[in-house]
Amino acid sequence: MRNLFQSADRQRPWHPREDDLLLYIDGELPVRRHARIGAHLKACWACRVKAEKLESTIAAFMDYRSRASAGLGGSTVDDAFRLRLRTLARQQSSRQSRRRFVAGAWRLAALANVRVPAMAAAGVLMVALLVLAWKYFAPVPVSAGELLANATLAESARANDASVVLHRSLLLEKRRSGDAKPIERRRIDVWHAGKSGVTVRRLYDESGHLLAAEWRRRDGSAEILSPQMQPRLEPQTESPLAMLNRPEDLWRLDPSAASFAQLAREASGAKVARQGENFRVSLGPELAMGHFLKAALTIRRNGLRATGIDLRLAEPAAPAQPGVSTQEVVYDYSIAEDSYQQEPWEQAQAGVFAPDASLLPPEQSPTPIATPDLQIETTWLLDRIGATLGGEITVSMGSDGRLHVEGIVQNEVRKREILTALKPVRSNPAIQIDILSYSQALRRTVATAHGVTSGTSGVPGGNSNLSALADISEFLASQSPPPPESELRGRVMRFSAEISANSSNAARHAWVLKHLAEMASPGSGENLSAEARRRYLSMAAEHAREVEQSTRRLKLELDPIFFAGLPPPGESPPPPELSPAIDRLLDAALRNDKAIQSAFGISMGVESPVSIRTAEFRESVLETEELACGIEKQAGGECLEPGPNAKTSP
Amino acid sequence: MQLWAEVAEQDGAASQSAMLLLVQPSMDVEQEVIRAYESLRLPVHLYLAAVLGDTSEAEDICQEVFLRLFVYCCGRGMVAPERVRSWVFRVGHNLAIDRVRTRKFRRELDGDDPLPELLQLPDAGLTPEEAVLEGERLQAVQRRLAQLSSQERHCLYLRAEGFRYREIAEILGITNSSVAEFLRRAIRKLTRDSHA
Repeated sequence: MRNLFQSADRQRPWHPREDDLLLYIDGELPVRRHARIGAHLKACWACRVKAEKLESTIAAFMDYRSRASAGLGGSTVDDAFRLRLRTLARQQSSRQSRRRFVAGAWRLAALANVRVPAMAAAGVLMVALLVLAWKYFAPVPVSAGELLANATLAESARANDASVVLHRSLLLEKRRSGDAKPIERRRIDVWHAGKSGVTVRRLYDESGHLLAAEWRRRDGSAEILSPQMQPRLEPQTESPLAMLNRPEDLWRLDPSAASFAQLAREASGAKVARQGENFRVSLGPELAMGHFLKAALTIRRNGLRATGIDLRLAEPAAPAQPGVSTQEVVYDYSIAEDSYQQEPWEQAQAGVFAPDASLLPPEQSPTPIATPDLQIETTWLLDRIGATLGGEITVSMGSDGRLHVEGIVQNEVRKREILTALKPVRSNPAIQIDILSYSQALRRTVATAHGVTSGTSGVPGGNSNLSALADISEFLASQSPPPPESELRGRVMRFSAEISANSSNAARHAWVLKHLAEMASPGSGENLSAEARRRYLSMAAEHAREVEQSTRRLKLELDPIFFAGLPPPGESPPPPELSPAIDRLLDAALRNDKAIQSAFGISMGVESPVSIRTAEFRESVLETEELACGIEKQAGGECLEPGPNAKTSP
Repeated sequence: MQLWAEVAEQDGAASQSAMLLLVQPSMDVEQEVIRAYESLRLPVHLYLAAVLGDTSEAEDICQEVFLRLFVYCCGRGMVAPERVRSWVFRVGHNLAIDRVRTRKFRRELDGDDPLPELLQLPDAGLTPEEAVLEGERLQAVQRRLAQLSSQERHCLYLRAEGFRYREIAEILGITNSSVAEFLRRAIRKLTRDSHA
């Protein structure tokens, strides 16, 4: 068989198949076949041409392929790839570190040959540790506004707890910016009672001397006491920013979320960072306003309590250096909590909320100033019981700004009556009341320098003006029917006493009017309250009516006796202004009274230049009546015009 | 993902030990990958362009291949230099085929104008007549290439890259004899047409 094949081969020459030729060209044939085909190709032209054809086809394709590849790629492609690779590498490195951690743990576990439950436990522990570490180091998820709002809520909850008293000590340090050593150290002691809402803040120097203290009430009003200055009253809480403008007042700035929130709002924006057990909210230099450069608040994470505030302020350099007075020096202030305690309300010392004696000024309170209203009210109260008449009691403004109510009255009963009437104003610190009874005055042997003692009750003397009385007697006797002789004298005395009483009554009310006019000068009248003005006018009108009516009665009594033969008076001048009218009224009333008293001998040793029998006296009486009527009208009263009939009536 | 799992599987025990022994820092791997990219970028790109019929898409996948190489090597260390080439082509091929499948992009390089822009460039040193002849010749090759099946074309291009049949079979996931058969048909089609 073999020989047969060999002979057939020899008869028909062998040629490799086309597939084999390609495999030959590609070097993919087994060694022996490859060698055989190689030998054949050397011998066979036909096969060599076939192989070359394959080669040329491959060459054509390779040429095409190289042409096609020439247009591909470039440096920009490289750059794009490098960038993508770098990004990926960054992501990968963080992933890798995590993977390395886990793999490390696995390796450790493998080394320790721990069993599965123990490994699971270790895994859980590790996860717990990771969570803790994450919580500790992770960036703060809250915003500054949120944090401050929550801390403010926590603060107000603590401050409003009525069962406790909060006590905290703060250290205030001032240093030049950049210096480590403080140039000023202060201690601030703060007590807050939740029950009353009062906060007391005391400032001590390094040696423990009390420098100043502040009492702040729930409504925000505050009183600041310091030995160096007058007590200062603040009606409402100042904005923290305003406080920053007065570094000497910084001790009153509370390291609290509430005040810092205000600052942050005014500075619009803040940043939060986590620092161990604390949050730190800071206002950076980009939010600087005026002298205020920087601020940071430290809030304890546990309980959200603000424990410190740091401030950086630019202050004008000390005026002691005139050359550099325009420069500013930057100071760092830090107010940090030193201790914090909550005490039950019952156990807290009550003394901590009381004002310190060393801070109170020597005088309990500054001298109060009496107001015009007070003066009117006091006069009105006295007027109602007739104590202003005749200078029984004087009401005057003292040089110390207080209202002096002074006088000597007849007895203790009257004194008590006056004091009772003054009850509504007696407690006012601006009023000083000094009223003595006669007996007290005598015991004090005080000369009546201030007040005029009751002038009305002068002791009648025996020096009687017989001619005037004779005129009255004659007039009464001429009446029909004539009184009996036995009664005539009594009637004359009663008649003269009546005339005298009317006259002095007019004079006394004129005095009060004058006093009222002095009390409310045109300027001060504008400052009066509506109530005081009403009282003032009603008093003026009443006294004017009294003057007018007394004078009219006097005129009616005197006319038939003394003025019967006198001609009727001329036209009266137009009524003057109120103030001069009162002056003139007083003059006239006093003149009339003097004449009357002189005529009827009630006032001892007084010689009047005017006789009651003259037309001049009569004019004076009529003028008094007219003036009083005019004043009454101006004060809003009603006055019946003393018509020509009144003047001319016999 | 399936391909990815395939790759990992093929890496076998080596990758497991790499998991435990956490190798080189990524910086070194990054440099290695850049080096591999610089040397293999063009052939991979060209091959992918042939598979996809789109140079820009091929470029995108080409970069993706080398990024995958980086990720693959990050935890395990750089692939051995002699294996990098076939790794890159294998992953590139799979990505391209995936792309073709998922996008229903089945243009099998029989398109009218698969790589037209590449053929518009005349050689600088040619006379106008020669340039015309050259263009005609290239277009003829292109026409013939268009008649190849995708498998034939893949094999042809990979062979042109210098891969042995065994490597081509590995990259394409077929047998050696299939590679030989596809190549034989490809060459025959190109040759026969050139005689036609």
